[in-house]
Amino acid sequence: MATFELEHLTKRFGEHVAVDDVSASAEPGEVVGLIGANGSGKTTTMRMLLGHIRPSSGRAWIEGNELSRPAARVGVGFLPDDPPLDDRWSVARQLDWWERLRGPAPRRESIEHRLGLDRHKTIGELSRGNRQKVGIAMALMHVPSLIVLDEPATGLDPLVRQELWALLRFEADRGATVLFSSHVLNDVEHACDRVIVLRDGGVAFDGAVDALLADATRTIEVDFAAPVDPGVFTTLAGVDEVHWDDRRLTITFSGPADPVVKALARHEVIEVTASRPTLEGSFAHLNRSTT
Amino acid sequence: MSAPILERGIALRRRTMLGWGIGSGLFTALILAVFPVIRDDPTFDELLAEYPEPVLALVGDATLSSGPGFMSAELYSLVLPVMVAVIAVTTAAAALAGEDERGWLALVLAGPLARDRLVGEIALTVAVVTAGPVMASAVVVAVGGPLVELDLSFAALAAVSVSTWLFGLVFGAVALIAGAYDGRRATAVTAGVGFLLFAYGAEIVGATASWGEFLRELSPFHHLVGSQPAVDGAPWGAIVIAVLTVLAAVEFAARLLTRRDLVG
Repeated sequence: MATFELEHLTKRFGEHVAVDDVSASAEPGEVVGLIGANGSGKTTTMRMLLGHIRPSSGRAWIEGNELSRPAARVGVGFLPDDPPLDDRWSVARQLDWWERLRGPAPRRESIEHRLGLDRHKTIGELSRGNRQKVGIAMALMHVPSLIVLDEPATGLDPLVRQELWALLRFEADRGATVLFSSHVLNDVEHACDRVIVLRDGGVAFDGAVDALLADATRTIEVDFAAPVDPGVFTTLAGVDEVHWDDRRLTITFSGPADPVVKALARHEVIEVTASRPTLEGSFAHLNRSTT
Repeated sequence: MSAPILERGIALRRRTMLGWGIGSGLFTALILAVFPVIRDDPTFDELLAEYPEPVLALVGDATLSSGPGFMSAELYSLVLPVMVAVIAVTTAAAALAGEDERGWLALVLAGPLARDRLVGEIALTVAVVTAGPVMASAVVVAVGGPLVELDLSFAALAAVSVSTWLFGLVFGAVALIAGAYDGRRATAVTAGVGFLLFAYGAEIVGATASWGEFLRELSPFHHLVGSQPAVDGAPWGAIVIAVLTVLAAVEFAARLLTRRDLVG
């Protein structure tokens, strides 16, 4: 059974369609990244999944339960962007209270330890990153089956960020489903098995990160021994842009590299510098191709 | 039964409750301290008798030389009820709409907590926080009253305290409904304070002009504090209606919140 299912979800705010016919689901053990430009519908989709806002049409389930039933959210752990904590309380008191609200938290101690939380500090004294860590502990300590995180790495230093990804991978390995949004595509690429790209409220891509990367825009810089005709490269499949400058050719392309490599092989090449495909490139390509 | 929302609501407002409690206790003590002077000087009653009807309606149409009449005029007909109403409105607005605006409702409602239970516990928070200054004032009267020969019975003190507390809760309930409907603290405060001003205006107009008497019937001032529970005893009919109104308002607020999108 899927951990969550969204079926033709649409959300309108007056005339504005924020989310348009989004269908998606995720299985236990998956780490799914939700990405998109500002206003693409990421947050609205997450908020509908959590029952914070009601869809204008469509339905959603968590572990087979319709979202309108509070029982559907028993297994949900949620980290909002900038978690609203109680500034006058200590970290320990905040987590104690959260345990009283949500019930016993078997993994509290281990998560506190992994995140390096100082139990005695007052929330109001904490940096943005440390507040985020308290929020992460609250999202994970009840051993949730669905973990929803909105920009989870915000404010975290690189080491804690690594620890977060390790924690989320651990959660997925024990069978939880992780869904998170991020505007840092590097994080998504690093942490996700699957990525859902939203554009103008609709799903522009839903699949494995590798599949998205295969479509990524890449750049190759080639130094030739003698001048070449750049026009030869502009007609190749997948080539977006060709730039010739003093025996150096810069080719921007997407899709398989094979046609470009074979065309280069017909000339005397001195040096090739190729960039690795990135999610940024894929995202940019996807946005261009669907515009 | 565990009530974590109520527990948190009170814990976060402990200092505020203490401040309001000390404030209302001190104010009550000051009023009590003045009573012997007023009681022993008949000119105050003569002066009061010359007040126009609308003013008497607001300060309590009673003799200042009697303890219950004095307390009604100086404390229980306007100052304490308005203070309690303002506390109820600001607490209800902050606890529901304010927490929605800052995203706290979204955090707790991402779990299995039902929205009607959330509203119920927030309403209880308002009831407890509001009871603080009323109880502090009552304790000061209970302890200090005999020292100044106030002659206010325990039953009368209980009646006026309950009436004042319920008076505040009615306005808190209005703020709760507005917050549940709109999710904005400013709207909730405006609705609660707006209704308080309307109720005050209705009481004045109703006491002044015969054409406006029907307005007075809509005013909690008239039913809960204008009837002077300290002098005439508990207005049981008004108390029952106020309790039912507050309970219905909480239920209505819960339904409104269940049917709307969160703001934060």
